[in-house]
Amino acid sequence: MQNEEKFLDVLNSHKAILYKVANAYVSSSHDRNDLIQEIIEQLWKSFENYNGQYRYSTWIYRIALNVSISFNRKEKSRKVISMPFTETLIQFADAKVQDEREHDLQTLEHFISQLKSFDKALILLYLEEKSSSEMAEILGISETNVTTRISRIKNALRQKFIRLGVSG
Amino acid sequence: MEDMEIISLWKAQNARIDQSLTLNRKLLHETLQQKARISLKGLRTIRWTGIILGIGWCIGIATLLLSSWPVTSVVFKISLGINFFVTAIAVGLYIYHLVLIHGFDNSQNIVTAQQKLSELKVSNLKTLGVLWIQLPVFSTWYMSVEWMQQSPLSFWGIQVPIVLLQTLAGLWLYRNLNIRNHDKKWFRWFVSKGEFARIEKALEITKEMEEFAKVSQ
Repeated sequence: MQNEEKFLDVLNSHKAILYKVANAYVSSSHDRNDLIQEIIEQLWKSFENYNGQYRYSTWIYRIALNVSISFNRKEKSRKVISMPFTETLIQFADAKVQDEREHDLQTLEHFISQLKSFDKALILLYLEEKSSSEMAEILGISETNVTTRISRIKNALRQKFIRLGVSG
Repeated sequence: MEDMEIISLWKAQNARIDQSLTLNRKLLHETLQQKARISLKGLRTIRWTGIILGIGWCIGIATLLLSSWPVTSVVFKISLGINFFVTAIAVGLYIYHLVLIHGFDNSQNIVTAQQKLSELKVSNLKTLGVLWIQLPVFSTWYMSVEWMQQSPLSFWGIQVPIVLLQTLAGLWLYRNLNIRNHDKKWFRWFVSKGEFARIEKALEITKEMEEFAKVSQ
């Protein structure tokens, strides 16, 4: 029970990671809820083996990204077996503020949604301002590779904004 | 738009998300107390089905073999023996896969975890490859010395070539039904059917991952 409370506290402090990762990998709110539920289950399953070697955020990113990449592959079949929760584990009160940045944000989210699974993971970590070494650790690739890939993705993103006439 | 502007845009979105999210602790407590859905359910189901059917098949073959032992030919005994042995190996492989699935750890780094997951997803191919080896025994169990002596034309002209062809096909499939051939057209056609669509998707991810993990030039 104490362990469960601790887990819920950790989850509460990092709930935004779950939402953002799930949001990047699936498009519908139904799938997002289903994916968040699966991530939480996997986190809970893994929690007893968490040894503090990595920060909670690194551990959560690893599991959330791994589950999301796999989830993406079986999205269609999962729709049939998803749990019929009327409530959701993480509730999002979408207080959308319509300002001039909303369009830019939509462009950014659309760009991310079009990336391949692994590049998507990389850009999410970059936007969270993770260091190259932490990104390399989470993803399992070299720091050089992280830097080169990030630079390519940023260039593509910059081009997209230029094409859409967003100069900043 | 510059890097810092993009990051600041993302941060603004983060702030909004942080404010809007609420953890449903009551529902979470209930969920954690329930038995979590078995992860990698599809992979487990295929293995369990294979194990149950395989054990049932082995019991059937062993019963038939032992109960008919005094009255059956050597060819029959050898054919059924090979069939039993190969099926038992496949059952053993499925049990091994279940152990690997049970030990799968989602908290490993992304490339390692996805690599292991893809290997698990395509491991069914190896079992299938092993099963193909026994292809000729389905045509050998009824062969006999009497048939060879009484009807040599049908025996040597039809039956033996069929068995040889099945042997070659079985060995070829055993050797080639391998992930290393994932770029070949026939392989993609083969794995795109039915349940093997799962393998095809795993191969797509493997390809993407190889590209991703490759040190950039």
